[in-house]
Amino acid sequence: MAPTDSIYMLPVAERLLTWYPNGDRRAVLAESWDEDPQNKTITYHLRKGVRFHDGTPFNAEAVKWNLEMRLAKNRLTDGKYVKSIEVIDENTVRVHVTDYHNQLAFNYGWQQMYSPTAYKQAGGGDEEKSIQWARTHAVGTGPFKLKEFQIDTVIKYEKNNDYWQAGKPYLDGMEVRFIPDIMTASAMLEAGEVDAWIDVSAVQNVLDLQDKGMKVNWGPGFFWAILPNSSDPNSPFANKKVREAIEYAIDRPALADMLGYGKFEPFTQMAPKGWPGYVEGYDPRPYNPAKAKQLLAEAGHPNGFQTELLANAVTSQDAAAAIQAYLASVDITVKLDLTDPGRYAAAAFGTGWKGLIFAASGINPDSTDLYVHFGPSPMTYRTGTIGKSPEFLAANEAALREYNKAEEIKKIQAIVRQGGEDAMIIPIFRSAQAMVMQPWVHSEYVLIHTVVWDAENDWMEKR
Amino acid sequence: MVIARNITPEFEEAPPRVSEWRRFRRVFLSRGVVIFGLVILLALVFTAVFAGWLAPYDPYKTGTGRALEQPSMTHLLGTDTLGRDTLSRLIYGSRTALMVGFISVAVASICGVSLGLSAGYFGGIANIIIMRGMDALISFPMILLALVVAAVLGGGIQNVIIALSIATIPGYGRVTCGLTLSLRENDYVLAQHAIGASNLRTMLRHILPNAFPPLIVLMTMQLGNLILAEAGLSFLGIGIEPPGAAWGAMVNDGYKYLARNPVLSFAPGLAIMLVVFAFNMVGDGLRDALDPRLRGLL
Amino acid sequence: MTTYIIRRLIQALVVLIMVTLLIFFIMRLLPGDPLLIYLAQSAELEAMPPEMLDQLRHQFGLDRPLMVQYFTWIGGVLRGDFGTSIFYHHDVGALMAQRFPVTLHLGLLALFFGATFGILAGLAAAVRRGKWLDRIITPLTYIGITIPVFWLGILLIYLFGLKLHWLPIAGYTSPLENFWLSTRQVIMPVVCLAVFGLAANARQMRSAMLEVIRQDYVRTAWSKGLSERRIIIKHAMKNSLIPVITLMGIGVGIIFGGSVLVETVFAIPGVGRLLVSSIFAQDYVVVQAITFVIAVIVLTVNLIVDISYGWFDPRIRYG
Repeated sequence: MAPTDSIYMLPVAERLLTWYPNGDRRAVLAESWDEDPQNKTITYHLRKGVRFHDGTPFNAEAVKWNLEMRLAKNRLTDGKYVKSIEVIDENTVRVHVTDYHNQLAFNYGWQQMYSPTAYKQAGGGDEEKSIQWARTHAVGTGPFKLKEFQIDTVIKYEKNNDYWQAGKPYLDGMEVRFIPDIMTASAMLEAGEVDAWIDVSAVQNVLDLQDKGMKVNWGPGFFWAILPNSSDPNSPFANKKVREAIEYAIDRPALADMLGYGKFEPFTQMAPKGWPGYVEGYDPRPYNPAKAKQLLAEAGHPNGFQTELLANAVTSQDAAAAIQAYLASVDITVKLDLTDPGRYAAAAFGTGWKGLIFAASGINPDSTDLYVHFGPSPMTYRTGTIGKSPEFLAANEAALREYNKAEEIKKIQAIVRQGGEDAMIIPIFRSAQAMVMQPWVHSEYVLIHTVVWDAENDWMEKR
Repeated sequence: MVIARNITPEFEEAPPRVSEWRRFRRVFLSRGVVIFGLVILLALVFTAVFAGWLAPYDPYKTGTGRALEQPSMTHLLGTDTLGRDTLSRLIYGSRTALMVGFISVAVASICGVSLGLSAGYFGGIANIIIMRGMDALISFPMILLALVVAAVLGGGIQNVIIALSIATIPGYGRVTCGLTLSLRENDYVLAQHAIGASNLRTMLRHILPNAFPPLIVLMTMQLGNLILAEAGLSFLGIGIEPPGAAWGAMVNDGYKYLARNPVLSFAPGLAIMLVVFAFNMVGDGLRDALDPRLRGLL
Repeated sequence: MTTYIIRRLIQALVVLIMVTLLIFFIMRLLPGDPLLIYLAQSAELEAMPPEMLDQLRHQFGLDRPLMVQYFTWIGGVLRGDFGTSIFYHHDVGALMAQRFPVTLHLGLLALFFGATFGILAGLAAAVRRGKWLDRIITPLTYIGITIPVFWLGILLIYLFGLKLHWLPIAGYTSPLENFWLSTRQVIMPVVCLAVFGLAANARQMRSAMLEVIRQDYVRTAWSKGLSERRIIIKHAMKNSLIPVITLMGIGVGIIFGGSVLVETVFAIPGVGRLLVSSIFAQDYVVVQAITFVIAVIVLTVNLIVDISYGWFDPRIRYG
């Protein structure tokens, strides 16, 4: 994968905005930003004196170039609203939009910034050459410079001595090695061949390593849910009672416990506990197989029916088998379609699915993942396979156009409740994502989300 | 290990029709390992047939115990990540192993033999197209071919069987084609032409039986290879779909817990090794008993 | 002899054309869409509007008729241009130039050790038939041909990497860069790759030797009072090698097949791993190119094997 697409470029290229752990927005390469819904503009005030690794200044022109580059390649979230990007002065850039909602400033500010000069020079005027170069090179403003990039193999970073945060980064360099096999990776950490294992979803391995004295950062993990094909009127899931029956049929606390060894959180609604969108005490459909059977009978399936569940063979084999067993107990025969990650992603994000899909999405600390994944124009599940009620869409619109944070959270909770009333999807559990490290390693990676990594703060004790 | 190359120069005449049942039995049963292999295979078939009686639990039922239980009197081989009984899954896995093995071998040998027969018998352009096609297939390592085919078709037991069948067709094709080529010019085959016998009849009645000994040996040994290949496919994420129990998939699921519950991967791993061993040994024995000249070729 | 070689070459060419057709059209049968997968994989960070698909489809020429795509590909291959990877967005020739040497490094070592130790072990077992050496070697060969390769890999990692700390667990370093580290890193993968071939060679060698030892000319040699070593090397061994040579031809294929598993276990950036991830990403361009090159290598080796039979056994005549 090209570096620009990779979370492993987070130490190299920074964003204008990111999150605090509590979900508040944090300015990184921007010092501040102004939102003007009336005049439909967003103004970013950039941090002064920041330079890219090639020595060129990070300024308004560079931001404009980065955003326009993404617009041209159709790779800017909500890019369809952008009317123009205006350079006000060296350190101020203004985006004019055609329509406004409260995610725009963050979505545009979320982009990582790369040096336009380095890109252009690499090609010497030849765009094709520049594109080729960008596949293995990246020049940003981050705490680390990209030293070597070998696809699927290794990424080497070296310290950026001119980093804008004085005294940082603490490390002289980093090396990320790609280990495809879980056991191998775990053994490498245990044998002391590596200092840390980032982005681990295998809970049992993490717990084993923790027992052996390793340090663990537990991140929020992923939002796992069964998504029905409910937009197709011929699908049994177009009937709300069937979707409700599925939710009743699955013992989520038991399932989460079995798969997560106490580290997974069973869901009752479309938001995890403790997140801003969570509706206290809302649990519309706790485990009740008898009720599930009754609903199925009411929906015209007294003897159950047959359907298929698509799931990623690499990540969800066990969960899919368990769901299959639960649904079998209410006479729903599930044919599992376990696929490689490629076909899974293509179905979930591109072409849609026939029956059910067991899918994961990221959890944002400010609960905005609801819009990103399930909103009116979602970024990920945008195939239209999930049927959404007019009430649900209206609730989203209302929240998106609310500019008072406290009010917005109430409106996000309304979305969660509406999704629950509709039994729009069947939320299953929040998985756990961890970074496991030797006791002398200090990092905050994975604590907010796997897509936030402030590598400048990582350090290691002298041994 | 199955070798099916350049078999042609070795066969100048048809091997004798097996009529000496006693000689066969004497040679076949003369080696201890062959008998051992035979016993394992009989036990395998017995287990597969009576799996329902032998298994202490429902192999597909989750939560018969806690997840990842250590071996105990209630769960002799412990439980897996979903709390399913490992022993029961191991027992049911014998069915999968035999099913994958026998169906793949049947499909591959029927396709391979008919292609090889036609190629050898008709010769000319048919021979060139069929046999070069086989060569093309054989120039992909079996697991790669199976991987590509399985990626096309998706997982699931029937697709694994199709993938493995396609990957193993050329072996049968080559053996049959080589034999047919050398037998085609034989006096009695030419005589069949003279009396106006149909091509199909000549092929099936007079050529095919001569190919039985090497084919039977090849099939036996392939059975072992297929079980190994299935394990490899499972490891790469393309295998039997849950809740089905397959040894390869069990090794693959279990090895993540090697430190904690070694039995989870050791039990199915050893089962695979024993069965592959048994098929190889019985194949060896059959070869020696049916036609020792195949030694070094099969 | 020359006509035979020419005929075999022409045959090999026909096979190669079949290989290209097979691989090209099999990949096109895949139910998914490589562009979607490419886009979907990067969905974590960025948006991916549907218009992008058509743009990319055109960029990769996937909107043209299949036969046109096929001939474009063949034309490129003939010029040494394997195209651009859909998933990695990288020149495939360059990718392969990075990855093939790694796999060949491990593969050649595995072939070499598999053959040498296999032949020696088989020889020893045959000469000392029924003695303790045979009793150790023969059961080990059974294990060698029956153990699942990836499982063996994990067991080795567990024992030699984790418990005994003798060897580094995973990774690959070029021997030109750091020979000592490189050698320590490749030991376990090479063992895994070699073990099947080694065991198969040993079994083959043992039974072939036992056969040959019984033959008249060897008995004659004995009766002439030649030394044991001389008889074995001069007379018996050369003749028992033919089946082993055949095995080695097939061994090349097995090594490539095994590399798929071994490179995954040991995190080795070889061509096997690239192939697996490309199959999963349905990256036609890379899969086509790699399988093509592997097929060429396998075909070439087998050609050489066939031709070399004559040297080992003059009784074989080329018809």
